[in-house]
Amino acid sequence: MEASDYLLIDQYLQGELPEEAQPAFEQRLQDDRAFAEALRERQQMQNYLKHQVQKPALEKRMADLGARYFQDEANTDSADPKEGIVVPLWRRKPIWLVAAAAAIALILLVWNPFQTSANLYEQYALHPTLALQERSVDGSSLETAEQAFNQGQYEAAYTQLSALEEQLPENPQLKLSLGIAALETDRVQEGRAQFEALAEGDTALQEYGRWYLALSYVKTGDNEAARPLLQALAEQPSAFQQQAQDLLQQL
Amino acid sequence: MEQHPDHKHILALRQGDFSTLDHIYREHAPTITQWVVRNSGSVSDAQDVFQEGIIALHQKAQDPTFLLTCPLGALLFQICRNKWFSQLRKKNRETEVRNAEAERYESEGIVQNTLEQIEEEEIRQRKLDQAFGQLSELCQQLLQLLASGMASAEVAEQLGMNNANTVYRRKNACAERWRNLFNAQTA
Repeated sequence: MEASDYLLIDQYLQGELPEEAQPAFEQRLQDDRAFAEALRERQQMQNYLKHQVQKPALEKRMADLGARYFQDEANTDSADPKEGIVVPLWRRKPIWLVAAAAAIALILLVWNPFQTSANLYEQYALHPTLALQERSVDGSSLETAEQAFNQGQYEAAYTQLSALEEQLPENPQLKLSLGIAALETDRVQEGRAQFEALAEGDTALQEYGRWYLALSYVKTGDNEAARPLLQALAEQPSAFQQQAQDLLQQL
Repeated sequence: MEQHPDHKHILALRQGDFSTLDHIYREHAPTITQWVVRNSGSVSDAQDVFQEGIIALHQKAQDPTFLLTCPLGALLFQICRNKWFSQLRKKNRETEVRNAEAERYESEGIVQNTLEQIEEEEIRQRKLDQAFGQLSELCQQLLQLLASGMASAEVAEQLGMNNANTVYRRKNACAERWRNLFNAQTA
């Protein structure tokens, strides 16, 4: 390797190699192993140097963001909003508040797409937690339904939630959890009916209806039906945009 | 292999546009915190491995031939996971490692592949860093100034060299010495 070879390599790495010299350069990379190896080495050195030059700014930015996104529970009241979205239940049914003075929150936990999985459905089907906070009602069937659902006892949850459905036919949170319980107990059509109602409705859980409808098709291996639903989700900003994009990639 | 839409984050990191990190933190910090905490770590442990993960991504992002073909979140998760395992091992907390290992993650082939590239780059840059530290002060300054995009003539002035030609000759000598130090280390 001559000094002039390194000059060429330098020019190339800086993007300053004259256009007319490009073909000869590329050809030489093909023919001359030592030359190609020298380029690779210099490229790696440059990668290192570029990283080092930017590192102070990078570290400063990470310190700022770290303070915002990594907080110990001890010193924070307002956790990262992604940590849990609390959707008050029965919002559309104030009558319930009067009747039972109960508040139910559906806590939508952070999605973790990296769980162990035998198949795509299980990988993405990480269900939200249903949290029922009793105020004054004892032995409520809400509480048992919540427990069953959160412990993954979907057969029991399905029974409990079905009973509640008669009292609260239009409640979106109930529809979602009942749909999930149905899907998990292989009552796929019934689950889909709930998700479809949500997807076509105009409640806060519309996106959830769409996402779960897509997942129900993934579960039954009907990827072609899932695809357009996921594409629609992937195109718009929502809680599911990223998951939908990732899942689409894997279909 | 087609590039993943998340490749835009790699391009931003390459250009030193760190506004892209806001999104990466918002999307992925909670997942990784949750996982580390579930595996005998604290929130601050999670922050440490997350930062190391971002640094590793930034290192690889400098490679213009690198193309991200898998979701960034899945990759970052695997990087952080390996880092946390190796920390647990260092602390001799074998039981915890075994427990965590029991949680089998079937990572996608593409993610695994990319993960290996990232880890290779990390090791290489660590070795380059050690060799770089053995260079003369002048060599270090010269290489850094040029990498920061300063024109040769300006570097010449700053380092008291005659002209851009001298800068170029010195640079070449420095790079050659650096290469030898690096190779001596790996041999």
